[in-house]
Parts: sequence; structure tokens; C-alpha cells
Amino acid sequence: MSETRSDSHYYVPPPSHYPVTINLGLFVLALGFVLRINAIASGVVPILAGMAVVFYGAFGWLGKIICEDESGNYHPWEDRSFRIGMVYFILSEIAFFASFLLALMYVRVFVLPELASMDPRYTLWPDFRGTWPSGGPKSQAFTPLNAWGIPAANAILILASAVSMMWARKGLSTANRGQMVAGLAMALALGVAFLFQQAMEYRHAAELGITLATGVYGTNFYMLTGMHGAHLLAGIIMLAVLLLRAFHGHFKAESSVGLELVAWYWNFVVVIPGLLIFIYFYWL
Amino acid sequence: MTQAITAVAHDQHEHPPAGIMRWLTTTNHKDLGILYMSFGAIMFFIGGVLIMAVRAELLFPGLQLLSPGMYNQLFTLHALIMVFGAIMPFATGLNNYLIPLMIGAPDMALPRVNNWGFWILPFAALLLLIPFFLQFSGIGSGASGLGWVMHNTSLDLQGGIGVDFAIFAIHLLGLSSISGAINVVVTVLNMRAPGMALMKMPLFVWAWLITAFMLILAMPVFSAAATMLLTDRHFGTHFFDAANGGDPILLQHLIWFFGHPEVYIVLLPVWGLIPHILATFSRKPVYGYRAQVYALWAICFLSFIVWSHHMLTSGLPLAAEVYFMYSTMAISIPTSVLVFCWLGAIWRGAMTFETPMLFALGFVAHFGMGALTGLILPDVAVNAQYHNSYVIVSHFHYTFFGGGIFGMLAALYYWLPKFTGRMFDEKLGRLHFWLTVISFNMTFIPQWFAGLDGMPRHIADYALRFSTMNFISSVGAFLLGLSQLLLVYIVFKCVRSGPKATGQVWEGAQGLEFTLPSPPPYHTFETPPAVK
Amino acid sequence: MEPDNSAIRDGHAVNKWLARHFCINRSDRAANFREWGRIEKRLTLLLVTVFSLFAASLSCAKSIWDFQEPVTPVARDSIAASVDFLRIIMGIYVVVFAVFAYSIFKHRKSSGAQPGTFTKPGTRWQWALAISPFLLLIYIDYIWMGVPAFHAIAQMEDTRAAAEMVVKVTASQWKWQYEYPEENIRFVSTIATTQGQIHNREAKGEHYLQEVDNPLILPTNKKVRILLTSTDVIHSWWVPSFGVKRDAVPGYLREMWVNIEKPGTYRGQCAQLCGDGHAFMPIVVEAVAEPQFKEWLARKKAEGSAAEAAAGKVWSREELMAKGNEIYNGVCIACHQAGGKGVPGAFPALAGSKIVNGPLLDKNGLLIKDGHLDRVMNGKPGTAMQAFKNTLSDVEIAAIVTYERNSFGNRMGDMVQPSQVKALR
Ligand code: HEA
Ligand code: HEA
Ligand code: HEC
Ligand code: CUA
Ligand SMILES: [Cu+2]
Repeated sequence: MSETRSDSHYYVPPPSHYPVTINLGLFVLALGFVLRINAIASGVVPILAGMAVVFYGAFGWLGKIICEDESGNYHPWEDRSFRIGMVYFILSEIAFFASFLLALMYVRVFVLPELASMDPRYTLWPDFRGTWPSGGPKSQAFTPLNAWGIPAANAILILASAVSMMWARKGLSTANRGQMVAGLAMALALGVAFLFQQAMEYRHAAELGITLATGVYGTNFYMLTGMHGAHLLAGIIMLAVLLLRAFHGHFKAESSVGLELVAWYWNFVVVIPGLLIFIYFYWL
Repeated sequence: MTQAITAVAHDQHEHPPAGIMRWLTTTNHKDLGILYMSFGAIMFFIGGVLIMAVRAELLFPGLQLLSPGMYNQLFTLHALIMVFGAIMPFATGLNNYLIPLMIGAPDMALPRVNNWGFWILPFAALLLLIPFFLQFSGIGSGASGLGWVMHNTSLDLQGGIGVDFAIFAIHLLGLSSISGAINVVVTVLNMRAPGMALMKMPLFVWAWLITAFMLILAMPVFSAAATMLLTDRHFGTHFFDAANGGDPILLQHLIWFFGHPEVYIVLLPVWGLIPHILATFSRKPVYGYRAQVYALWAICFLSFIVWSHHMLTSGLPLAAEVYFMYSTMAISIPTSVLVFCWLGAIWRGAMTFETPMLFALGFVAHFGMGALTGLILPDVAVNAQYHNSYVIVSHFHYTFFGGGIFGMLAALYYWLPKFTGRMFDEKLGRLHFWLTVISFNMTFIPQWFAGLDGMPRHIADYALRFSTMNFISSVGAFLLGLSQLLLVYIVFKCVRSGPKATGQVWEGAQGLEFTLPSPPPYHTFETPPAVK
Repeated sequence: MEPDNSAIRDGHAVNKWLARHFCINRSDRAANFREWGRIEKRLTLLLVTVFSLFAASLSCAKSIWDFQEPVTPVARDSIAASVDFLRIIMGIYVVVFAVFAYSIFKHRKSSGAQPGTFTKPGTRWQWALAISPFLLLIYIDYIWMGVPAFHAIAQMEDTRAAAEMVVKVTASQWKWQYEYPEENIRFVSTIATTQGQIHNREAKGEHYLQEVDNPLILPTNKKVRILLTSTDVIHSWWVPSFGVKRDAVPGYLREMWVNIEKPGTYRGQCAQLCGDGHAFMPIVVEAVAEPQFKEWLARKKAEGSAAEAAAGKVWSREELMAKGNEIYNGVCIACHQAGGKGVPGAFPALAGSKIVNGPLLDKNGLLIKDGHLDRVMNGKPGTAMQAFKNTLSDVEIAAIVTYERNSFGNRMGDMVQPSQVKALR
């Protein structure tokens, strides 16, 4: 608050058409998607158009922010807004991931035991044993995944990416730009490697008979890792932008919000859920 | 540094683009506040017209106007539009307009995000309504008819394109609510004028801070549930299918984990603004400020741990039933703290009864009824009689309309002179109040008795024993609808030809916003005011 | 306040009327407000009186609560509790509202009140006054209401102890199947009200919408454990007089119990939004004394063994068609409509349907996946089309399939025998 203010003017950006443009894109995208999944119309055109508009808007907006940042419009007061905003955004992402993780917990702790323990005289699912890993009484047969293959390796990769992110921030604060760039590049590379391995894991899973429709097992596997992968992809894009900015000489020790926000995002939205998925889905 | 400051000054004094572009691109919190509030008002009327068709169908037993499928679509749209389109945006509009004025900030902290959050809403509303109109040209089977919270998973799996449209509308609404909520949190935590300590903030700001917090935690769960529904419907997943190890009740858990906080999300802003109005017209300071702040936090916390009281007939284990019963009852304690603080606010005051005050008192009287009826619902054994009957419909319209809408109307009348710079017609305002009170009770008291008598909700047609109560209720609803037309007239008259309002507006009014002229200039508090 | 008559003279009719009846006069604003204030005061008083009279009468007279007559221990307990609770909250409301009303009438600027400046309780006495309602509320919540509530729940959930018989209820869109597993009896119960009554072409009967073709028959004075499940979406079984309502969840078993103390006919309906026919899914229970119940069971069993025998015999096409027509109009017509026209976008037409006009069985006499017989017997998971082998007998399935293949303009000319259906189960 007052003590962190560098001056008494807060930067209020001028009118901008990017937000409403993005919304138009989102609307067209959603429309196309609904049409497509219901086979009413092909929907491909609106989906692509919507995506293009959203990307146009998002990059325009982001570019604007970067410009404003670099032309010195932001001071500690504005930075603080971004930081608080990011904290709460991450909170909402955590709530989102928690819903999926808790749905998995609900299945494992309540659903499967209940399906297996109905009054034996009237049970709807005779012969169902209900021990995890299981896809439910009528699911296709499959072989469960092993935690100590790619999943464990991936857990290590993602932990390592968190460490290199930390290292990059250290580099920034000690004005060691080389270290910063190297750290960012390493985090990015580890993220890409993770995604690549994940794709391998999907192929392996398919061989074991696990598809999206293989009962709750397949459902939770693909949904959890898929949601995680999507966020990881977003994180990778952010890292790529950071890297480009770093090449252009952006970020100083005293003005580094962009980098720090991405680091937070990476740690809380990408790394922690990834580890939790490893522990609770594959391992335990 | 100097260069930066001139740049800032330049940005802010640039004239906004004219015409529609001004509204599409604006980053000004007052513009966005007006947009949000107008959108809320329009949606209120659309939601109201939809339910008038429902009440017309229920006027007499037998099917006269609607097919059962159309009936389901109408009340589902009604509820979604009223909750997500009318009340929430209106409350967001109030926060946009007022929070910066109340805490002495130049604007909301993230103005462009603010614009983004608003302009999603019309698109989300479109998504909700498109399938409704498509059905008339023979495409699809209409809008979602599954109830506002999609009570019934497997039914969701069957519904037509309307459900998919609703799912995407929910995603967009979620983006809007979360971005708006983040903006409120950042603004309140970062933009207060020097000296505006947290515990000096007006209660409305406190209430919105807490609401925003709840939105940030609850809304993503709704989005997650909608995502699971989407993949179950179209991509072969099995979250909700028993044969494949899922559970239809899982969706209810997720939805109510969001849905219960949601009802407080709707009401918290109102609880925040009522003390302002009561204090103003009693010419007294707010009573029990600290107690109210703590009570609001307590309600926020409790609201996240009681969700299953909406599912007490779904066959939860005994221990869970008992837990959810007792924890739900606990909400009565912080809520009555608020009620008694309102009493303290008017006690030994020098009251006058201008329209906002009437609506505020009307809010207290009706919200009291809604909340007290809520107190008996969680009793599991008795809930078996109440659940999914018209008792519930009566309960939540007392809280949503008697609480939410009465509160919004009180706020509208209270701050309307501030927004427009003109006074409204007091006499008509009072007339509006009395008409609303009478017709509102006429609509929803009979529903309570129909429910006790065993009338389920969500039915397009009913047995003969419920005829009398439904007839009275429908007539009441028509009167209620017509009375709201008066509101339109009052607001238009106020904007066009009301007498000029002073900055202070009301004799007893306090707060930073009343130190500004009415209407306040486009940019306010560019240099933060000093707060004692 | 004398109304200013000049306005009446030259104002128009509405003004005149207002001025005469409400002393409202458009030309004199200040006077108007005072008049309005007076009227409002009267209105408020009136409203308060009406409200409190209403509340008072409610808390005295039990009958006006209008619950349907309770006939099971659970219903008696929960309705008694409910009436108590309603009185308690009415009491709270009247007391708190009275304090508000007192303040509203006493502490007005117009009666010269000076505003206080206090913002919280000051003296120890005031603190005590402020805290006591909460102590009282905690007492009400957790002791006065909380203890009986706990007992009622425990009683309601005690479904298994000393249960003397079991009934299994299977809900489907928009009918109930009742099954007595120990007796090997089952039948389907659907609404009996005619479309004519619903669409106002005929006069409505006394039990409009609350009448069924085959009511559930239960013995009195016996603890009956009711198991619930569903074949498609969640439904909810509710008979107000029994004080129980429980959801029927597809794929799960839920349970509840009743012990009906008085013979009679009790009516209720589905209480969970379950699609277009939700309003048309009534429940009728006839409670009869034990001997009559036994008699009924015996009769039902005899019918059952007749059906068994029927499944064994070879049916003629005419017999199958007649039976099929009957079943179609009872069961399938709700969705596939008269003449098999269906509802575009929701329920496919059977007239000219590829599936109906496709082959019946494969070379080995087995079901063809997604063939006609398969669709009727096993339904299509995830849609409203349910597996009818759970609810219909062999004869019924054979008849309905034969009927559909040879009606609505479908001319397949073949037929299915009940024995074939039996073999395919
Ligand atoms: C903020 C929330 C809100 C508000 C304000 C309202 C307002 C009203 N509601 Fe609504 N309602 C809900 C939220 C709300 N409702 C929810 C959440 C449900 C549950 C849905 C579900 O089960 O899924 C519901 C369900 C619901 C039902 C139950 C349907 C059923 O279960 O079968 C009914 C039935 O009477 C009803 C009635 C009304 C009426 C008469 C009003 C009136 O107050 C409306 C008054 C306003 C107007 C009428 C508009 C203004 C007037 C005009 C535009 C002029 C034109 C007027 C005429 C033609 C007369 N509502
Ligand atoms: C803003 C909306 C709102 C609010 C504030 C509340 C408040 C409460 N509600 Fe309500 N409720 C809804 C909106 C709301 N509800 C909706 C929309 C539904 C239905 C959803 C659906 O199914 O579609 C619902 C349904 C609902 C159910 C589910 C019923 C069922 O379907 O079976 C239950 C069960 O416990 C419940 C309980 C409560 C409780 C305990 C409170 C507590 O917060 C109440 C606490 C307050 C008090 C106990 C009062 C204290 C007051 C005094 C002490 C004095 C008062 C006197 C005067 C002012 C004169 N509500
Ligand atoms: C609750 C509604 C409902 C009832 C009752 C119902 N059906 Fe259906 N039926 C459907 C739906 C929905 C489908 C479409 C399933 C799909 O998506 O393929 C369907 C499909 C069918 C089909 C396949 C038609 C085609 O061309 O795809 C046949 C045959 C059929 N039903 C026969 C019956 C018979 C026989 C009965 C009565 C014993 C019956 N149905 C009762 C809803 C119903
Ligand atoms: Cu079955 Cu409602
Ligand atoms: Cu609730």
C-alpha cells in the first residue's frame, strides 16, 4: 500500500479493443465446438476462426502489456496488482485441479467400495470386487499402468524444471543474465521433454487397453493428465515468451514481475498438480 | 519518472472514443459499472418474462400453453438468467462503480480485465438463448431443461444441444466471475487511499472482498463439473456412470460444492450494502461493524462445508447426514449477528422512510422469512417432506427475491441519484415498494402451503388439490411482474427529468462517494484522498 | 390536511380520484409526502397486523399446515417435528419483527427522535442483551430442534432391523416397476390419467394425475423395506403420507422403510426432475390388511404362472399383435408416440426405422448388436431407451417386437416367439 508506492499515480490503461475481441473469439469458438460435437454443422470453420481471433487478441493484449512494462509505465504499485492478481488466479486454478483430484479420491474411497458392497441378496453388480485399480463393474479389461516407468521419470523431470526455474530467478536477482537465460531454457526444455514422454505414456497405455472409455480408470487417467498437459502447454508458451523477452534484454532485478508470475504459475499450476497426480494416481 | 507521469496523465485525459466503441473498449470503472448494471436489469426482465409463461401455465391444472419440455426449458433459463445474468452482474456493477469511490482509488486495479469480464456476459447469455430459438426453426430440441444446477446427471447425458450450449455458457460465465473477483480482491488489497485501513473500509467493500474470495474458490469447481459433464456426454468418459465405476451423485457433490456458496455469493453484497442504507436513514453510524465483518467471514467459511444439505434425500450415509444437518444449522449464528446488527443500526435513530429505506426494511422482513425457513430445511427427516417440493421454491424466492432483489432495488434507489445526478420520483418509488411487497407475498406464500401439501417442483401440471394455491400464486406473479414496469418508468423519468441531486444526496449519507458531486466526474481520485 | 380543490377542478380524472380517495394532490408536493407518510403508516400497521394474525393462527391450528395425513411412524414423527419447528421459527420471526416494528414506529425523525451515536453494546447489561439471543439460538438449533431431529434421522435410516418384507422399486422414465423378490412377482405401474384430461378435452377426474394402472399393494402394520434403483436417470419416490422420499439412482441401491398403520389409498409422485414426463409419474399405494394382502399375492402368483405357461406355448401372430398393441399403447407410446411417429430430435420414429425394418436374429439365432430385439431388450445405454428385459416379460417383449415389425407401415411379416426371447435373456 502507501509505503510500497513509488509515486501517487496509478497507471490506468486507455480504452482497448482486445478484451472484447477475445470474447468474440471465445464465443465463435464455443459455438463451433457445440455445432461440431452435435454434428449439426461441420463447425471447423468457426472453431479455427475463433481460435485465430482469440490468439490475435491474446497476443495483442500481451504485447501491449509488455510494451507498457518496457516503456516504464509500471511501478511497484502496479506490479503489486499483478502479483496479487496472479496469486488469486493461481488459487482458482488450484480449485479447478482440486475438483479433478477430489473426483478421483471420491471414486477410490466411496464409489468402488460402495458398488462392491451392496446387500448381497439384491446387489446390482455381483462378483465385483471394487479394489483400485479398477474401471468399475462393466469396464473393458486393461492392465494398470506402472508408476516406476515413465511416470516416475516424468515426476523427476518436472521437479527438475522447478529447480531450474528457481535457478533462473536467482540469476536475475544476482544480475547474472546468462544464468537466467540458461535456467529458463532448461525449464522450457524439461517441460517439452515431459510432454513428449507423456505422449509416449499415452501410446503405452493404449497398448495396455486403456482408453478414455476404460471405466473410471481410463477416464481419470486421461482427464487428469490431459488437464495437466494442457496447463503445461500454456506454461511452455509463457516460458517461450519469457525466453524471447530475455533475449531482447527485458527484465531487470527491480522490474521482473513477468518472470516471477510465470515462475509462480509454473510451480503451483504445473509442478504441484503433476506431482500429486504421480503420487495419487500412479503410485498409491 | 517524470516522463512516465506525463504519459499517465495523457492516457487518462484522452477523450474516450464516442458511440458504441466507447462502451466496447472502455476501461473506466464507472462506464463498466453502468454496463454491468444495465445488463443485469435487462436480464432481470428477460428472466421475469420467461417465468411469467411458467406461471401462466400453472394458473390452472391441465396443459394449456406449454409442452412439458418447453416448461422445463423455461424455468431452467429463468433461473440461470436471474442468478447469473441479473443478480450477479448487477452486484458486480455496483462494486465496479462504488468500490473505487468508496476506498478512494483512481479505478479498478486491472481495468482491461474488467472490460474483458463484462463483455463475456452478453456472449454467455447468447449461448444460453441460442438453442431456445433454434428449436423454432427445427434445429435441436431446445435449451437445457435440466434445472439451473443440473440436478440429475444421467438426464444431462440425454439432453440435447441445449445442454452443450449451457455448458459453454457456464465456462464463459466462470471466466467472467473469476476475472471480476480477482479484480475486486486486487483493488481492495492494493488500491486503498492512504489511511483507509482494512478495518475502516465500508462494509460493502468488505462484503465484496469476501464474495470475491468465495467466487475464486467456488466457480472453478463449477467449471470442472461442467467439463466432466461435457466429456461424459461426448468423449466417452465415465465420471457419472455406475457400470463403469462412476457415480451420478458425484456431479451433485461438485455442483453443490459450488451451488451452496453461490447462494451466499448472491447475498453477501446485499448484506454489505444494507447497513449503509439503514445507517443513512437512521442518521446514525453503522452498528456492530467488527461483528459484521467477522460474521461475513464466518458465513464464507461455513458455506464451503455444508453443501450436501441439498442432497439429503440422495441416500448419503447416516454420519454424513447428521454432519451436514448440524453444520448447516450453524450458519444461523453468524447470520443472526447480521440481523441483530441491522436492528442496532436503526434502534434509537431518527428514521425517515424514503424509498431506499423502505426497500432495505422490506429486505430485512423478507430475508428474515427466507432465512428462518432455511433453518428448518436441513433437518434430514423433515427434509424428506420438503425436498424438491414447492416449500423449497418458496424458501429460495424469499432469499433470492425478498433478499437479493429487494436489496438490489434498495441499492438502486439509494445510489441512483449519485449515478444520474437527478432525484427520482419519491412518490412513485414508494408506490413501487408497496406493490412489490404485496404481490411478492401473494406469489410466494401460497407456494409454501402447496409444498407442505405435497406439490413437487419442476412439474408442468399438477393434481387438483393444488389448484387454489397455484391460482393465487400465478395472479400474484402477474401483479409482481406488472409492478416492475413501474420501476422502468421511474428510472427513465429520473434519468430524463428528475430534479438535480446534491453531492450528499441523502441527509444522513456518509462515505467517500458522497463527498463527490452527483454524478461524479469521469475520473475520480487520480490523486488519492487522505482518509482520517 | 385539506385537499387543494383547485387541482380537482382542473386536473384530469385520475388526479380527481386520487385526491378524493387518498387525499393525494399533485400540486402540493410537501403535503403529498405527508399524506403518503400517513397512508404508509396505516399500510404498515395493516400489514403487520395481517402478518401477525396469520402467524398466530398458523401456530395455533395444526390442520392449517395442510400436511397430508401421516400414516407411518416416520411420517408422524417428522411431521410433528416439522410443526414444532415451524412454530419455533414463527415465534422467532414474530418476536424479532416486533422489536423492529417498535423501533420503526418509535424512532422516527417525524416524532422528534434524536439519533444515538452508539456503535456497539456499551454497558455490561447491553452486552448480556446482545449475547443472549445467540445462546438462545444455539439452544434452539442444537437442543430444542437438534435432539428430536437426530432421533428422527436415526429412526428413518434404520431400514434393515426387523424388516418383515422387501419390495424393490425400479424407476424408469416415466414409470415405476414394483417387485416382490421373495414372491417372484413384478409389475409396472404407469399413469392412468388420459391425454384428453391433460389437454383439457375431457373433464378432469378426482385423482387427476395421481392415478395409476397397477398400484403398489402393501400390507398394513408390517415393516416393509423398500429398495430403490433406476434404469436411466435419477428419480425420487415420494408419498407424503409416509414421510419418506428417497432418490432412485441408476446403478446403485438406495433403501428406506415404511410401516403403514392405516389401510387406505395413498398417493404421491416422482420428486426428481427426470425429463419431459416428470409431472406424469405418479405413485399410488394401496395399503390393505394382511389377509387381503395374502389373497392378492396368491392371485398375482397365479397370473404369474399363467404367464410362465404362456411363454412356453407357441403364440399365433394375431395373439402377438393384439398383445403387442396393448403393450405399445401402455409403455412405448410415451416416447415413440401414436403410430410410431416419434418426436424429431428426441425419440426416433419406429415407422420406417432402419432398426425395426432390419433383420431379427443372426444365422445362429443370436441377438444382432443394435438390432431390433437387442435394442428393445438391452436398450441403448446413455439414452432414454432403456433395457426392457428388466421390466417386460418374455411374452410382452415377443409381442411388442412382432407388433412393431408389422405396424405403422412396417411390413416385415416375421414374428418372435416368447420362448426365443427367453432363450436370449
Ligand atoms: C435471483 C433469482 C430469482 C428471481 C429474482 C426469481 C423471480 C421469480 N421466480 Fe424464480 N427461480 C429461481 C430464481 C429466481 N426467481 C431459481 C434459482 C429457480 C429454480 C429453477 C430450477 O429448479 O432449476 C426458480 C424457479 C421458479 C419457479 C419454479 C418452477 C418449477 O419448479 O416448476 C417458479 C414458479 O412459480 C418461479 C417463479 C418466479 C417468479 C414469479 C419470479 C418473479 O419475482 C419475477 C418478477 C419479474 C418480472 C416478471 C419481470 C419484470 C416484468 C416485466 C418484464 C413486465 C411483463 C410482465 C408481465 C407479462 C406480467 N421461479
Ligand atoms: C440467497 C439465497 C439463499 C440463502 C441466504 C439461503 C439460506 C439458507 N438456506 Fe437455502 N436455498 C437457496 C438459497 C438460499 N438459502 C436456494 C436457491 C435453494 C434451492 C436450490 C435448488 O434446489 O434449486 C436453497 C435450498 C436450501 C436447502 C435444500 C433444501 C432441499 O432441496 O431439500 C437447505 C437445506 O438445508 C437450505 C438451508 C438454508 C439455510 C440453513 C440457510 C441459512 O443461511 C439461514 C440462516 C439464517 C437464519 C437462521 C435466520 C436468522 C434470523 C433471525 C434470527 C431473525 C429473523 C427475523 C426477522 C428479520 C424479523 N436451503
Ligand atoms: C423413455 C422414452 C422411451 C420409451 C418409453 C421407449 N423408447 Fe424406444 N427409444 C427411445 C430413444 C431415446 C431411442 C433412441 C436411442 C438412440 O439414440 O439410438 C429409442 C430407440 C428405439 C428403437 C430403435 C429405433 C431406431 O430407429 O433407432 C426401437 C426399436 C425402440 N426404441 C423400441 C421401443 C419399444 C418397443 C418400446 C416399448 C416397449 C420403447 N422403445 C419405449 C426412447 C424410448
Ligand atoms: Cu421420475 Cu421425476
Ligand atoms: Cu444451500
